[in-house]
Amino acid sequence: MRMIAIAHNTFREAVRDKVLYVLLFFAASAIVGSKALGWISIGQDIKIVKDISLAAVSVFGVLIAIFVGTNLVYKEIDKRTIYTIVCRPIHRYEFILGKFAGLAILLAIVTGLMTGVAALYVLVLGGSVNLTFFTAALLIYWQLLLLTAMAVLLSSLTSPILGALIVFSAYLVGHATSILHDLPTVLKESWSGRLLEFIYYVLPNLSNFDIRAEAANGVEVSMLYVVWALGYGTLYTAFLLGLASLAFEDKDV
Amino acid sequence: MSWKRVIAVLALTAVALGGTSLTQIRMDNLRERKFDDELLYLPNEKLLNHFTGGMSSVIADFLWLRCIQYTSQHFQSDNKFTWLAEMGNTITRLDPYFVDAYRYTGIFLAGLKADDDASIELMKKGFIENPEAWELPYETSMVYLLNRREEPGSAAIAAHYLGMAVATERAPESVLAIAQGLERKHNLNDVARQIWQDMLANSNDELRKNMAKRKLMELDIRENAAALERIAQEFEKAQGRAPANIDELVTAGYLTQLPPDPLGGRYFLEEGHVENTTLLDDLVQRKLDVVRKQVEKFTRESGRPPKTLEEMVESKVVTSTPSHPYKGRTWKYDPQTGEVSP
Repeated sequence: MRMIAIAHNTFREAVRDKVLYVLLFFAASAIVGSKALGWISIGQDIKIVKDISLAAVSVFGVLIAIFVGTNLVYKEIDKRTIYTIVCRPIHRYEFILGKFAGLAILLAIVTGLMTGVAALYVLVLGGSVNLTFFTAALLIYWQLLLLTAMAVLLSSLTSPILGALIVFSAYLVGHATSILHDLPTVLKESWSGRLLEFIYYVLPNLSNFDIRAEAANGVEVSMLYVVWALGYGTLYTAFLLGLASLAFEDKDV
Repeated sequence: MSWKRVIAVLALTAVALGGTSLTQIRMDNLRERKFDDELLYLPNEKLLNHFTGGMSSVIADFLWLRCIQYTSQHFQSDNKFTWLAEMGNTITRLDPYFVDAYRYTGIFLAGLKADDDASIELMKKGFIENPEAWELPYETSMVYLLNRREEPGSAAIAAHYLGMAVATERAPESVLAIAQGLERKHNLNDVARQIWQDMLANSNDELRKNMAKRKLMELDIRENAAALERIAQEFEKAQGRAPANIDELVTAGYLTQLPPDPLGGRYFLEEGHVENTTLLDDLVQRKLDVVRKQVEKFTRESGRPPKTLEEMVESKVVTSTPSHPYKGRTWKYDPQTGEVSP
């Protein structure tokens, strides 16, 4: 119940943030404007609209998760409003989970809204949207949850700017981890190869959540793959939230 | 805000944007060759995939637009398309499901650059990633029909690719009509027979002679199977039911004996069609090669063989695996060794 109250307040606070609307405006502009690129694409306009729409959902979702997420805990400490919360009978982990849940609800609404607008736009343009399109949006949302958990962890450890930089770097690195895995056979046998392999498994592999090419081209993706990707995301997010709770538990506010 | 201020803002905007536009035009002229130059620095497509930040599909779209601009610019100027194949390979590496990028780059390569080899190679790459796309074998057949029509056997190869397009069961009726028309017009069995007979007569190489002999026998088997199918249809028309098996055509007096298979196979009836084990075994080998290559690709990318053949599709490494040519049979697969057998 206490956690729900914190989630509710976090959601209300985030909705009032003007950055959210600026980002949503740019996302909508990118989705609607993508049609212009289709004019010179030899009949690929629907594919390009789908590609750019899903990319917009992902990029602007990440920006919201970073800008709002890295401020969540830090702002409470900075403005000293944290004292009014920690002096009440509430566990610190409840505070962290409540903050995360509030932003997760906001991201669900934003992702759902952007996906809905994109799907509607594709239909208006005469295209069709299949299940893979919505599955791709679901996996994008799961990726955003993971990044939000990371942002919450960093928000309780460091300043918003440094936190934002780290989460954004993690987003870029998380999509490039496969290079650590696709090593030449000679290197794979060596210690450095094994170390790189270890790093590959430890870092969050965000390309697991990327089925946008399949969605844009109408290629089916097996539900088993989706379930495993969701499982991976849930596990990693839970781990990061656990770390965030531990970090905040020991924090001297 | 007073109207004077509005006019001042508008005038300032017009002057500023006019100034920047003129400057841009001047800079574009100074960097006239920039467009082609920047293609020189296009990263290796294998590396590029790792550094797109999850945007590989969108980058493929932008590269595709660049590819169209590039083709259009050179079509209107020097007709040189040096980077076209490179661009096609990079786009399709970034988005392996982008069927129209394979298709149109293939058409541009064959039609504008007259580089049939690069065109066919790109479209064949597309077959592996998108076995259900009828457009790619269809366009490949067109390259053989239009660009290589003078070459002996090109009509037969074109018919082979048209057959592949029809086999996807997604090709429009018009493609089926072209395939049937090609078959009738060129009498492809006769064309193929002529090619193999020439090779048998003129080649000094024993291997080529043996291959020609085998191909001629396969042609006989194909013609025999087609003739048996026609007799089976006559039987059905007369008796009001399909023959229970191929031997019934002999016992009912439609044939004195079944034609021999010089390669040791046998004919049999399958859902109203006459099949032959020699031809099917050959098809098994060709499809098996495709499945083995898919397993190799999965092993290369994942560092281990797939647990099942279905895993290759589930994990998005391939979009589908070829079905076994014999009805009711499936490929035997050993997940420990990654070995596939018929």
